[in-house]
Amino acid sequence: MTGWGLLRPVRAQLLVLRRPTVLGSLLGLLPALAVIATTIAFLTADRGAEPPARGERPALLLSALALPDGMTAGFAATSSLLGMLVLVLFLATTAGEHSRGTLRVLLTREPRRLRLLGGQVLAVLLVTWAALALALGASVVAAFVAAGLRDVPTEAWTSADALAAAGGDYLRAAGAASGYGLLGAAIGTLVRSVPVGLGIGLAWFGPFEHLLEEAWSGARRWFPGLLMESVAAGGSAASGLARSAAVGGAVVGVMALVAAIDLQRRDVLS
Amino acid sequence: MTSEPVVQTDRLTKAYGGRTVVDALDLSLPAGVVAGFVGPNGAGKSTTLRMLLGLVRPTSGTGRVLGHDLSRPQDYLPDVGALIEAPAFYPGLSGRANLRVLATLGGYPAARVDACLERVSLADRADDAYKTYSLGMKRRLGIAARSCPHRGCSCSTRPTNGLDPQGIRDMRGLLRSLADGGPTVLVSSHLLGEVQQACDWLVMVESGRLVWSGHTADLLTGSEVVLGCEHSRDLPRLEELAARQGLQVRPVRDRLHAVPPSGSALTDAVLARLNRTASDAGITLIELRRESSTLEEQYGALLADSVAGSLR
Ligand SMILES: Nc1ncnc2c1ncn2[C@@H]1O[C@H](COP(=O)(O)OP(=O)(O)OP(=O)(O)O)[C@@H](O)[C@H]1O
Repeated sequence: MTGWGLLRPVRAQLLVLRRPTVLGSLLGLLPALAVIATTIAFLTADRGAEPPARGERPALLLSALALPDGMTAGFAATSSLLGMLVLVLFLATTAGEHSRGTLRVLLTREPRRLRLLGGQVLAVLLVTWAALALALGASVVAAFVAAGLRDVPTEAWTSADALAAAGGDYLRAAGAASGYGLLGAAIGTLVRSVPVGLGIGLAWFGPFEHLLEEAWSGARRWFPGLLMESVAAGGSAASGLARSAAVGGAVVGVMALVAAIDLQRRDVLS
Repeated sequence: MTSEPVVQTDRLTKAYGGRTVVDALDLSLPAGVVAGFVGPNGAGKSTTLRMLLGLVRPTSGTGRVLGHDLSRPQDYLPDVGALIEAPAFYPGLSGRANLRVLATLGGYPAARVDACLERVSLADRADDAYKTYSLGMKRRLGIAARSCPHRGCSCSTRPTNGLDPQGIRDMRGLLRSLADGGPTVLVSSHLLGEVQQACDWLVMVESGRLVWSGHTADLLTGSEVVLGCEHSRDLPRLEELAARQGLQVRPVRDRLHAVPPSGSALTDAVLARLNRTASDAGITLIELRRESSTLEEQYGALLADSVAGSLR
């Protein structure tokens, strides 16, 4: 089979995603959230005189928003909220194939199960990355508009530093989203049921991790959801960016491997 | 028609937990037939089809489809049009988009999608969402999806389920036209009537075991002779004499039902020889009557035999 054969599952899944509900919710919702977050950041920022000291939350001061990374402050704020949305999207995609029964039909066209699943996940990742890029663009436009409204100087935003900051924000957001997405895909593949998978996913990454975060100091260093949040935020006190990315990536990798082995071995019965 | 069987299995077995649902099945389907896979509910038909399609891993035994081993479905599935049970599609996508997804995945030209939709008379509703289709239209889309690759071999369960009479006639024609093009079509059903008219090859299974396999015509023309003798104590002797003439005999109450071996007919000469042999042995026949049985009865009788055989 040629290299194009490997891309068939990706192209097929992109056709599946080409629905108003899916594209609308992703390509519309993410940019909308980024615009709202940007607007709120600018409208509620204080008119302080001094730039913030290190470690303080810079988004609260208008003078901080004038710094090179101020342009994408709104985008950065949203990206840490997107994890759950992306998790649900990937989980519904993979588990839905089982519960709908479409997987067995697709497998008669591409019997190599890992190729099929890999292609599907890659297609959803591509759409997610595109939605994040749109969200970044939308928040930049919103930032310039909001800056005009509140007289925030924007000279620093057109510098190379600003470009690097925006690129960094995008990569961290895309990395965290990919981690959440792969976790969702792994849960969906293992559980094979959308409601059960959602129950597990939402319970674990919602209340459970955050409750244990208070009780156990290791939570921030080892729990995948908290590590992804740390990646999106550029690192936390408990786990820096590089460590969060490495450990989080390893946890995601193990989950993906377990799911892949399970898919390869189990009978398709639905 | 090639001589190599399109589907061949050798002691194919599937057990769930301790329960064997497909039991050492030996199948052999020639090319170019519409084959009907019949058996009561839970006989293991779907499980067997799923093993042939690489969805379910056999517990033991081997099989080949189009000459390729079951463990490498990627080698033969591109040439197999397959659909199991109720069709499964993305409800939010149109019929056309659903077929496009499958065509893209299988690497077929998109132009074939339109041809397939025409073929099942769905072209005018092709752009409506699948979830808005009637049951019959859903089945038609299933057929369209299956006939897209249209080479090799095809599998389906209950093809006419939910179709109106016109749809059922269309379906039979479609199955026939698919097989005329060379491929073998395998349909599965527990409704014998449905299979009887659409299929020219039958595979009967019961409790995961093969009961009978061969041309439908053999089963249909396999009219039988009913024998009765004056004293019931002579029945075993008469059974033995008939069996010695190559007939398959089974006692039914105080009568014997005998069928000629598949391929040979129940001619007058056969009946005359039966009568003469019995008389030579001192058995007086009180009944010697041809009876052409329906497939339904044959089916029942074969299943009864198979159950009796497993109890013996
Ligand atoms: N995943 C499973 N776990 C346990 N038992 C199973 C499983 N799948 C099927 N079976 C059992 O295997 C037997 C055969 O099932 P199968 O679906 O192959 O029958 P069938 O001949 O297709 O029946 P029907 O005509 O009702 O569709 C049934 O007794 C069923 O309960």
